[in-house]
Amino acid sequence: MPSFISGAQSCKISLSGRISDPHDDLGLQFGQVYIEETGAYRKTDSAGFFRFENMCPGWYHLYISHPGCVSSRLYFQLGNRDTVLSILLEHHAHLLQTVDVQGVRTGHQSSTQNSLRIQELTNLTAKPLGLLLEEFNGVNSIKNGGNISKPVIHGMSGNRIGILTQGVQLASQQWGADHAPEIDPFGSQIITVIKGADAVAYGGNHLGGIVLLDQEKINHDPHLHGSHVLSYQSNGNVLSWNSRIEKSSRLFDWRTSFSSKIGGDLRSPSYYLSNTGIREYSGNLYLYRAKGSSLVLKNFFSLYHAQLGVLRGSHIGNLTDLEDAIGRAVPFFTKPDFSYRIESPSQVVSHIFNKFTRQKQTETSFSEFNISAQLNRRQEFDVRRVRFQDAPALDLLLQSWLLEYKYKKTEKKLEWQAGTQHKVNYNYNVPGSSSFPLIPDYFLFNPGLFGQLKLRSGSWTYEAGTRYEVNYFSANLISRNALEPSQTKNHLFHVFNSVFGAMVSPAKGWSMKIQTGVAGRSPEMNELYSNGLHQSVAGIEEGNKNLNPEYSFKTLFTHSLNPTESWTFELTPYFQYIRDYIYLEPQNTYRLTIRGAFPVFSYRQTDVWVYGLDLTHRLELGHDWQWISRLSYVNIMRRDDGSTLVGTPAPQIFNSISYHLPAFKKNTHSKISINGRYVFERTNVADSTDFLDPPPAYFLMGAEFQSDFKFFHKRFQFILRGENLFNRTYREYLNRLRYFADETGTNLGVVLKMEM
Amino acid sequence: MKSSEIIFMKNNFFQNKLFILIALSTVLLFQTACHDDHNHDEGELITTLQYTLIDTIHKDTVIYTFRDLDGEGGNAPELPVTGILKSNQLYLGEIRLLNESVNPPEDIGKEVAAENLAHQFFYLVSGSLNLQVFYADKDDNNQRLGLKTTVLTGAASKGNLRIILRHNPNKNAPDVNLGNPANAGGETDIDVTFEDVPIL
Repeated sequence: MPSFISGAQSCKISLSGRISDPHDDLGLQFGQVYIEETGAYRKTDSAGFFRFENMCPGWYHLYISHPGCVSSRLYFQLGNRDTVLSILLEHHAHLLQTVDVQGVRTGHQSSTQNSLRIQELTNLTAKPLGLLLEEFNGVNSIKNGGNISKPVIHGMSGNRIGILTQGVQLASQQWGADHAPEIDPFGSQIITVIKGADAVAYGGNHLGGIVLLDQEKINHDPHLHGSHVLSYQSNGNVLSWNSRIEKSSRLFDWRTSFSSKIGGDLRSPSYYLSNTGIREYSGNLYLYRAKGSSLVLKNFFSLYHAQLGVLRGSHIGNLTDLEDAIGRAVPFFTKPDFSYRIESPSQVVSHIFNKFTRQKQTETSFSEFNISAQLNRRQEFDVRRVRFQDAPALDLLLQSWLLEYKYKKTEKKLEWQAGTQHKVNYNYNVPGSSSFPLIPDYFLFNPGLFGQLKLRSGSWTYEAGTRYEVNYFSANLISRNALEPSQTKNHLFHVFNSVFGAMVSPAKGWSMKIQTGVAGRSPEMNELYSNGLHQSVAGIEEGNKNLNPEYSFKTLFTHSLNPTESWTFELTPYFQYIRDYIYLEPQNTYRLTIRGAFPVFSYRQTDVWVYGLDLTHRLELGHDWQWISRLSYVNIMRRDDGSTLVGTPAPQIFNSISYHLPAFKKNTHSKISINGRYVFERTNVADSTDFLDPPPAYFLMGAEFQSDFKFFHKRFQFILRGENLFNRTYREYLNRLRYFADETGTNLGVVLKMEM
Repeated sequence: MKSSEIIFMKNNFFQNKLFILIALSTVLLFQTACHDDHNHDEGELITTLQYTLIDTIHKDTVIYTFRDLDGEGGNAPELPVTGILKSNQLYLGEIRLLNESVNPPEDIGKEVAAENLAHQFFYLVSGSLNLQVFYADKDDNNQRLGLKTTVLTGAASKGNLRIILRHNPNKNAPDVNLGNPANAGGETDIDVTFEDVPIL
């Protein structure tokens, strides 16, 4: 405990303040301010004001919360005089398109982006990143069962989506639907999705959008703080735990976080999904050292390891097996009992990451230097003959290094930023798999340069940016014939990105943004050189070494209206033309192998239109009721024949109604909500391009109860959450397992969080 | 010099040193051993299936072979045939499985025999081929295996013979013991069809 009472001083000081929304400066009623040292608390009045009397000078922890807001904590010194605080609380952060981004390292102010923060993340504990991101409107996920998923932003996925942890692209094996990103989202506190194609400040091929996982600032507080989250999920008996502690000290501030998750077989309404267990362990350490006001040094280190089971009945040998599996009511190899055991087929993935940052800031300029390294190992185990049982069928080791420098200058109305990145990737097939590598060993050198300008004029803000980068691949192709020497193939791609955005705020609570840009993406190694039988999709996949970069021309318009604090209406139509879109095309030929004849899929390029709409509507009735409505629609249409590409997400509507329960004890608040999600059937997909028609539409109900309370001077949060309440049997179009099994049935989750 | 300046200088030195140290360690962190071992031996591959049929009386030998030395991609497989089946005869059939992509070739049939509980062959006749295949061996649980067979030919005819090897089939599923793979499940390791097999 801090020593905040000093006898000589008078305890007659008043502490008052106001809580407001940073977007419109409106005062927030029904907020709570709690002083941990004295146990006193106040509610804010209708204008957001609060006041404590008879305080002694000293150091205090203040905890500020508001229903529907991101709560925050403050540690400060109350001097020997009356003090007034002004506190900004992010209100409904995940619903509003964040227009004014705070902080210095963002380079995407005109992007359309949404963020989830740690408080909202708690509700979703134990969800993998892909599923968690479905909370964002316009974001779906492609899956390979309940544990393996990755995001789809505005219909784009895989290589087109960048997942950046601490500003560095996660080096991972992201090709195919069955390779999920190797990261634990709960090691971060802020998750942001950028839907625009304009993020020129980030390197790499992110034509479809970006997911950012970031660390929140460590509070300048010399005491140990943190949170512990325990959760249980009934479907799969998943137990998970996450702890985060942080402390500010004289030398540096630090935060460390650990998570683990253990789960067994998931269950569909009528049978167990055998072999869908999970083991996941992760941890990270974040160090922050500020020297005076100008220099900051940071280091972030993280580890991740996971073992993921893949539905046993989805492992097939050839096309006949797939056809047999499709027709079945219950998948092959379905066991009658629940088990935590993970057998083949399974995946074991590990990721090690370190990033060091040096930032220097003056009144008008800001510079940042980053160096980072990553190591990624992916092992995939198939059902094999005993001799190979313990050897992975795929064993890849990817190393990546990034060197980055950015400089930013702020003048009166003008702000500019420039920078350069140099990335080196080395991908290596670890010997011993006794199978032919699907992806060759390769080396990638990827230097890039970017510049960005931002100009403010009256109620208008303009932004323009451009980026140039080079992708140099050097692949080492080995032949199946051991006598033939391996060949080295080199590819050099130039990629340009440009963006222009304008934003106007004609009146308070009303803003419009238009953004248009060109973004390029060079082909990736799997698109150039994947070669061989992709057993999980019963097809022979052939790379195409003649591919060119694809170019996207995207226009995005966001109209956001929140005339009052209790009403928000937001509409984002978008329109994108992609020239030379790279996709996997079924060739009308079959290749004879000893396992039978397989259809051949080859990478081709065609021009496509991508268009869609995200709509979010939020209405608060009184301060107790809230209604949220979201709608998303996307279509990826071939220019030549007007058909929809395989894997385009189906339109969906989501509605939720929540009610703040009257406090049964002082200093608690509780909320109950129900929600419904209707997903339409995907239509207009050309028949010949898939083994099975898209599944029919479905409707799912969910509910949630959440309560914040105090117990022995600690703050707790209890969440009870139900998904698919009516145990509906359905299949999801973007889940590869839809050929084999139903989706999971009812799931009840319990989360208990303790803050300290 | 004021003491605060000294501290500042010290810290500056400390910072630069720390800076270089961390930056270097980040680069070196993931340096791994030199990779020169590029042996991607495809040990699991089955390149060759040989179905040898020996006439019980005349000891005539007929061999149907499927051979794809470079695996799934690359060159098309070869399906050479030696000898010809005669009508109304009894043959003893035997399967050989080889991986000829390695030197010396590996006998995969031995592995299958060793893992007999996890494997079963299926022989499917289609078209007007007058041929019946019977299992002539059993696994350790006394259930069908199919490495060895007895084949009975009928009148002169022509049609297709399809040979399937399933890994991890459910041998207790209906009709599986009769040689029907429909309910067997498991993964297909081999699925080879010899077309227009004649019986003279």
